[in-house]
Amino acid sequence: MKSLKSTRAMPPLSPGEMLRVAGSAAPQQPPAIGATDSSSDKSSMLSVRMMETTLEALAGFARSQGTTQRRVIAEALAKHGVRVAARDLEDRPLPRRRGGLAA
Amino acid sequence: MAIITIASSKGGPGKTTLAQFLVGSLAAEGVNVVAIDADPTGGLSRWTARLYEGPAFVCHHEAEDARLAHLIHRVAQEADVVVVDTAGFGNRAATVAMTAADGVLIPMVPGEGDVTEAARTVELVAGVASAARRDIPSRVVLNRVRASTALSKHAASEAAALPKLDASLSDLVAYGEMGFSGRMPAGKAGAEVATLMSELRALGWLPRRVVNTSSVNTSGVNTMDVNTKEVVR
Repeated sequence: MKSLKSTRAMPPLSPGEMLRVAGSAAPQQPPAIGATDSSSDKSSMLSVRMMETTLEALAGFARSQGTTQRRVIAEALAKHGVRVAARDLEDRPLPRRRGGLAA
Repeated sequence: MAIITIASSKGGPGKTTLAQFLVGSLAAEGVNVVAIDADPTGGLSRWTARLYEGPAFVCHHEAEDARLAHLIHRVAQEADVVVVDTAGFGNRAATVAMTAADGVLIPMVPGEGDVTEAARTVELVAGVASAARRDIPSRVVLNRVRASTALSKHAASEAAALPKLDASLSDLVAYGEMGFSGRMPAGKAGAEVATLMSELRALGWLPRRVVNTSSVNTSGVNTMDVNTKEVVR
């Protein structure tokens, strides 16, 4: 049975999977665009008032995916074609005060 | 839906030329094709915006790997074929495009460095396929071939162990002219493009020809009603 192949189309990899696979297959490769393109980019705060049920659902979804609320929002925006900065699409480790490991 | 990534770790083998006539020919057939220019120099997107004269298709320009991954994932759900053109050096965006691909085309011109880098790119695709645990076939496309020369024959023999398309592209000025005219090549070059497309269809990398019941406007705007075309796989 192991030699039998499915003829159904393969589902596309998720963006996270693509990045993980690319990183593991060729970890030394440089980015196609230089760091100068984003060197002037700085982080800033966005405060959005939303209903508690929405925020609870967001927190629960992020927990279930093993990621952060920030990344869930960033991925949703990117999915709709919003030009999201690459750093906002990365999982960052939790800060130590929230149980993360020291670098 | 099919994703074709055009890649090579060497610059100048004809990646963008290959992308130009692939997307142009597919658009002329009425296929819902989307181009993604993942090369920071933006050759494909510039050509599409400024020079291309055939039926319209969407071309995105994105060379940042994380944003590229999201873009490929998004457009793949809407298009019949996605063609990704990549930069001519080993880079993360190209590798991301390989992970998503149903097939990777690796153009190669006759030359020692080109043969070496084509082999490296084939190896990289195999590594990506292994990491992704999926089959990602690759094919080298011999480009700028002068069939009667010893150089072309020697380069072909040096690359004999690599997976190759039977179709190849001759050293014809028509391909270079396409870059300035925005029109698909005709004559011998047009016949070579048709042969290459047929081989990709035989491999299952492209949908079979569209059964089109409406006319295609070649003035730059695709006016075809999506309800009147049928893509036969």
